[in-house]
Amino acid sequence: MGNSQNKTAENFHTIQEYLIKMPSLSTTVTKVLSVCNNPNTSANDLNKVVSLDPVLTGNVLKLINSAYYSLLNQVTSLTQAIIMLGLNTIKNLALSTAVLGNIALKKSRQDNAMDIFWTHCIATGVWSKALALETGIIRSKCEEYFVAGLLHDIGKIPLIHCFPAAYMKIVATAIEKGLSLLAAEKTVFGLNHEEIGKLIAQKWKLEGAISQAICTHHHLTETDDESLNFVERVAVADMLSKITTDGPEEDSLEDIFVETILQNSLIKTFLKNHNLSLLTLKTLQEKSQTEIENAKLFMQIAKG
Amino acid sequence: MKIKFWGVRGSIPIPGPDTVKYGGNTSCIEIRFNGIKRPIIIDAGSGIRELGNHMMLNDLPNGPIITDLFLTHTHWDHIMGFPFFTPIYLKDTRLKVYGPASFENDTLKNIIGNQMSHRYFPIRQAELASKIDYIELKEGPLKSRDDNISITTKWLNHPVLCLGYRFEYQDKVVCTLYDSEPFQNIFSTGPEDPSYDETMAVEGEKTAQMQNKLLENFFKNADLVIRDAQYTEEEYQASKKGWGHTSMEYAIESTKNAGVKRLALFHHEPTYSDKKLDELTKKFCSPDTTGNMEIFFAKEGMEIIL
Repeated sequence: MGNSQNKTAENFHTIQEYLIKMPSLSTTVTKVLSVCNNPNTSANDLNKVVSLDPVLTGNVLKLINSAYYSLLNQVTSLTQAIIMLGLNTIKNLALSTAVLGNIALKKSRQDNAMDIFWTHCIATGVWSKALALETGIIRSKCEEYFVAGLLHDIGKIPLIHCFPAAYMKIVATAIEKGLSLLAAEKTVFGLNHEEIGKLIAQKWKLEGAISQAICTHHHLTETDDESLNFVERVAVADMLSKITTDGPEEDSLEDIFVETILQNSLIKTFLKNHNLSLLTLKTLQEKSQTEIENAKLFMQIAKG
Repeated sequence: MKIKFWGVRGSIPIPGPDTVKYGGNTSCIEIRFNGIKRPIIIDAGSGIRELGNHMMLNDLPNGPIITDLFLTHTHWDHIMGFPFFTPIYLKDTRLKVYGPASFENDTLKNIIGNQMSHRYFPIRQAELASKIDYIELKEGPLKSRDDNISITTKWLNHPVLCLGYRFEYQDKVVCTLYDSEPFQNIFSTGPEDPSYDETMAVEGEKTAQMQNKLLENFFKNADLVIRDAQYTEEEYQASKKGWGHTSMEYAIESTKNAGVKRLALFHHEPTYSDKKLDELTKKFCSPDTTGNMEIFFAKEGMEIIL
């Protein structure tokens, strides 16, 4: 008991230390450096590169939201933040976040895990936005859904970085045995990725729906009433992203997609409540897939 | 309220025969308030050296120097005079330095004080005799002042975090609005551009308009607005977009309908001679073109009483 408590305290300390200077993802750092070191970079490209890196997005939102004594409406849009803070400040913030990372020339196993993680974040962001649009959310609010999807698993980053081998092992075991990853994280590290996400959300001064998505996307019963509809879309997007992007390749999509969806009560209820058909979902999937591939292309990440 | 300009130049000090009339020192403004001993200083450009000497002669005989320095931002021309502000070397001086913190996780104390490190200056910050407190600012009304001066800050558009100040005292208002460029929609608005994104274009436009409106509200009905006017509109459009400064034409147009009584054009371009500024004064400040608002180019040594 004592040993387990010590271990938890030690892990907590390691994670806290890591959070003090959290670098950009190894997946995006090369593109971030190239966009931000280019004096002629357009605001559109800057927005795009920041929006495809969860750590950078979090840092920009942290900067804009910590710049006010009181901000009644939190800024959750990168477009707004870029206009308010200016290109130069965002570029410098991005560079200083990017260079915190250890840019290894040779890809390590950890980097591959990070690539997979990155794809899941982007896919969940894209799906969250697509579901929001499809279910009547006004276009200008949809960016917030993308950001929430992008950031929902942010708590996994310290685990992947600080305990790469152990973390990859429990992910594999959880998948193989069909166990809950959250429970496995809690048992092995003393903290799960929702709890670590909460620490990060606090550090980045994220409140409201985005913070709720980070902290409760696996426990909708714990979501605040006012954020529930928002977080539900992100949770469904998380599931759909796992089924479509992280799952088998396109040739088996038809069967597996339909079959898995029909087995998932969260998705099934969501489709029913919003009167969405499987056909609509498949159309969204095609659009989302294109958007994810475009994001990869922009980041110069090879397919597969 | 009495406002005195100790430095009005942008970018770099430019002493010499061509800048005798308007002055060559970089930003520094002193504000004194009726019935309050403690003056406020805005910015520590090279102009603060002369202000420090003035305080040594006129304030020190009446007791220790106690003052507040408000920095608009930490670009070099706004902090370079700090090591030459003589009162910081006196043990009884009490100085509070307020300013926006950077995003680099560094403190205001380090950003300002590290100019006084071995490689740049013979005296280190740690060796200063005075008591200096650093207070990092955000946007909004400042709380916890022990006098009746009301101070509000507003983020401006400059290539580093930069604050405008609004000081209100006994029904008089003075605002600073430099270094600042009007907010622009910097996102592509042409659908033919491959990177065009409709949401970004629309939201960018909305945000820029809203921020400019908030800026206008910030200086509304001020008795004096001290405003960035580094370039002419022609210079701005030709090559200065994104540099974080305002054109004279825009500064005048957007201030004159906000109930402002006086507009001081400030942060003069370092390449402008006295002759050039006189010409610009004729063009922009003649009473028949300025309407109800008095407009002038700020001069070093100029005093305004509100």
